[in-house]
Amino acid sequence: MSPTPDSNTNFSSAPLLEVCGLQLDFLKDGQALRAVDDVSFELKAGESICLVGESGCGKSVTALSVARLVPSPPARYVGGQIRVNGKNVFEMSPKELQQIRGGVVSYIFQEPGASLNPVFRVGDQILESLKLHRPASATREEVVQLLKLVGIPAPEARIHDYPHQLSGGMQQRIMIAMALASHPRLLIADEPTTALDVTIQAQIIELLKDLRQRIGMSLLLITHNFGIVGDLADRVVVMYAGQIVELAASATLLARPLHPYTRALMNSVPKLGGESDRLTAIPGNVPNLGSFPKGCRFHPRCPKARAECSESVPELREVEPGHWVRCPFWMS
Amino acid sequence: MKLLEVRDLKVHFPIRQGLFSLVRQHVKAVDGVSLQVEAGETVGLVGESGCGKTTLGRAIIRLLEPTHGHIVFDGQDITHLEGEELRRKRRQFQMIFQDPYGSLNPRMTVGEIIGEAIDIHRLAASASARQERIEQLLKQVGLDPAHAMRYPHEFSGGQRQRIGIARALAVEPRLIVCDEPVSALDVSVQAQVINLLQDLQRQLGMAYLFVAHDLAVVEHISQRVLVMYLGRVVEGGPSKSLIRDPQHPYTQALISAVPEVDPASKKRRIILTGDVPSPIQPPSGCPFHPRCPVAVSRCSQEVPPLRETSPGHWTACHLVPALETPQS
Amino acid sequence: MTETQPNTPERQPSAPRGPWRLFWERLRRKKLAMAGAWILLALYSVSLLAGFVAPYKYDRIDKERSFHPPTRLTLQGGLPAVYRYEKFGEPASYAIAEGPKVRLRFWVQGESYTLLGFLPCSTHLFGASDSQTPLFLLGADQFGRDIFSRLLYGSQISLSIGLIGITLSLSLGMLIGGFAGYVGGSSDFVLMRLCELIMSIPGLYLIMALRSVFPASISSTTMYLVIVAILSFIRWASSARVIRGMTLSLRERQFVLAARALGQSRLQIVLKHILPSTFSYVIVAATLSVPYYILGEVVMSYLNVGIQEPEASWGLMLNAAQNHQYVQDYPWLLAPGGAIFLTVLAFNFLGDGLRDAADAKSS
Repeated sequence: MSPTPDSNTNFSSAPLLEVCGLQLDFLKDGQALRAVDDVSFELKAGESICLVGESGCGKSVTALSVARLVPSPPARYVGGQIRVNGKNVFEMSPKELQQIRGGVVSYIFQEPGASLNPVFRVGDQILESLKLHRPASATREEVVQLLKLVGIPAPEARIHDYPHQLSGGMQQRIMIAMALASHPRLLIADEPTTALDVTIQAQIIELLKDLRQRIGMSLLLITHNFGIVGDLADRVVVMYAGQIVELAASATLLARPLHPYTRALMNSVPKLGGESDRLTAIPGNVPNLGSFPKGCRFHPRCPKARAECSESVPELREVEPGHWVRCPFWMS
Repeated sequence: MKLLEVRDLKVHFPIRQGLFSLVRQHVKAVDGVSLQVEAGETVGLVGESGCGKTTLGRAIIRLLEPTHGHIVFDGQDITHLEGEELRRKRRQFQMIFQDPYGSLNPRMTVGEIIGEAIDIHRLAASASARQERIEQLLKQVGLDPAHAMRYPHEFSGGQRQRIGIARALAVEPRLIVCDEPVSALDVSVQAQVINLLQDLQRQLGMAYLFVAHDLAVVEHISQRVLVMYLGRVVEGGPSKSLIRDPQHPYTQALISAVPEVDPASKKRRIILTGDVPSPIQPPSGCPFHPRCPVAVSRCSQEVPPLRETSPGHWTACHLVPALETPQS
Repeated sequence: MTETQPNTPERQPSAPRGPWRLFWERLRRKKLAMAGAWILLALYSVSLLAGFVAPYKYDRIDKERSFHPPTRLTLQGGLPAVYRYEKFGEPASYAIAEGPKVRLRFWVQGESYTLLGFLPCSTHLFGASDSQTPLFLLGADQFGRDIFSRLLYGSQISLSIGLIGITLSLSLGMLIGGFAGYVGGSSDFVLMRLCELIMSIPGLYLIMALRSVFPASISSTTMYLVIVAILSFIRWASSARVIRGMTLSLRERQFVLAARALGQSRLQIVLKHILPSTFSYVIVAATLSVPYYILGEVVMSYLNVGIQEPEASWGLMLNAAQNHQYVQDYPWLLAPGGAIFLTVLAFNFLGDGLRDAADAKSS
């Protein structure tokens, strides 16, 4: 069971990234807590996928696992595979992993300030990244080119700046430039705009959109904001409590979400210019790692829950071509 | 009835530098803000980080010293109130904080946290009345009264925010400044807290000054919205008309930048260039002019005053014509 | 009004777990720290009961048995006993004597002492059945005094000096640091410069200078107080600085702002919110700096400016081991060094464990 994009989308056929039945535990006080449970999806070259979910749903851990970046322990991979270019990352040698990190897959994170080294000039940090992956073109000119690519004004002057001299938005652009330095085929962005202001967020979204068109790289974007999904994603994966609950083309999902959680989440957010006086809140709290409910993990908060929902975990089923839902009662 | 009136409020923070800690410069966090809050209404205050909205909120309830201007609460000028008088007055205006983890003392039980508020203003005649009041407050914010015995770390973010709300309610305030009360919460929990705040207002009739960066949330909860940029209010008006028909170029850009869930809406996004300038040396003239897509030369020289540009809707922009008949 | 929500805390422990309980639960898992705690508990209990555990008084002199070696323990008929020793030669040396061994008895009557400082008593935990046979578990010093007994009496000074010193300097540090941090302004400036001044003088010189303020020979009790006062005076400055820093950051914490917004008075904010939040630091700092006082007393007594003979303290006893010829011939003179080592190590283990337990975020 591996949800794939519908065949008529014209991406090149071989998947760049395949996540198959990924299972990951966190060890805490001698207990193994399942953080990611049977997560499967594919990402074709050039495609863009959004992982959407709230804190603790396993979206970041899944994304970090692609380059084996989750420290282990406390994490433990229990099952499944992650294949990048057809090779399982769990069977790679440290050297091969090194080549995957940065070479094929690059990351950007939520806090650009925390990801940049405060004592080095930003130009040197990008140069360092170039030396590591493309030593032939590790030149000042290339650094300036990269900064131009991510839309930094006066790049010749900016390369001498230290990270603290730049604003949050500029720092995030530097991070993107560093990530792009290695010509990655897949950019994984973990909440890249959450720490930024709305107007700066709009700038970064435009930049990522533009870069996708120009470079043709794939994008795996992690977010909790459905607003960004429509802008950047071809397909959406919605996660809740370690599991995928819905997977579909983004236009389809935004127009007609089928899983009760996706619907509730989208409804609970006030819309700009909306008319409703009262929000439809989801009752209860996001379950913590280790205390996921039995059966369907959303059932205690689900407005449509029935008795059987608390008994067995529903399967993720393809209910329409390319639209997968983990709820047997999606039609109601 | 006018509950709060703020007139030309400024909060400047000195930057001390050098050997003798001399004041060389000021951060002009709030630079001349006037606003009014009617009893029982909700006024939203939006803006991006560094625009001074949090500082303004804290100055209004006298957690920060204003540098200039006046705060009039219920007809009394509280700008320079001190000591016992101020402490007694504090009962009437409260705050709900952004960080549900940092705003509750981890060493006190929920009962002690709420009880502290009751004790300070001697609002309970006896120990049993105090206990009853704590339980009633917990029920009111949707928590189990038995939780009074527990410590903050045993609760989720949303529940802690409810505890913070209960603490503010304990003194029966007439105004609550809500400083980003939902931005640290999970999306699915935000709506619960927003609904709770609305329900409480309906029951108890206090006014809110709702400070947030999320336009959609502010629009949803507020009757009127003020947009701040670099320490000043650039636009203000009824929330529906402000969102539907923004007049200041900054507000327009801000609204257009909010990502839309609806894939069908293909609105034009105004992408602002550059970043918010430093509040230490704000630009001359209109603070927004260096990033403004429609700025003219006059914008860099004259500070545009906040003028009524359509009924009840005020804008600080040279390019937006004022109403023909200026009201007093 | 509000939706009926399952708003129960995620974890449902049987009783509410306060921050102290969580702290304790984390500490209990640290083996080294718990070992340190047990060692200290044993040391302090023995120290309290020194008169009862020690076979002799600290000042009992036996000129005939100068530098007597540690008495060897043995078994006789399944019961503990000690060898008798013969003395010969000058300087004296000792050898195990032939003949019957002397039984070791428990709960024996001996020299009178006051237990816990107020109970007159003459029962000792153990003693030789024949009062003529000396019982020197750790040997005797130059004057034929029992080192084991002196070690126990000495621990009353050496171990208590740390606790009293820490109490003095941390109270001063919390008071001054908390005040400087919360009030700020010029009083903060003056107090912090004063702290820096004290901290900038090398400790040993300061000890000597302060010591010279007092007359050369004063009674033991006074001397004890003088030592504590001097050591605490040097030490309060650094804790005051740390407490001030913590107060400065706590003052801006949202729960403190919330208390201010409620109209809580300044004093109550400091007492209810700020100082309790520094407690975990204070406990760790206290544990880790007790060795400083113990070693400080050792240094002062070693330099002959501390506790005076015939009183016993660990530093003073080490003073007797200054002569390297003595150390070579009578290595048991170093026993107080072992006691200091054990105590300091135990405090450090416990302190490290406390710090780790306090560091972990309680949320």
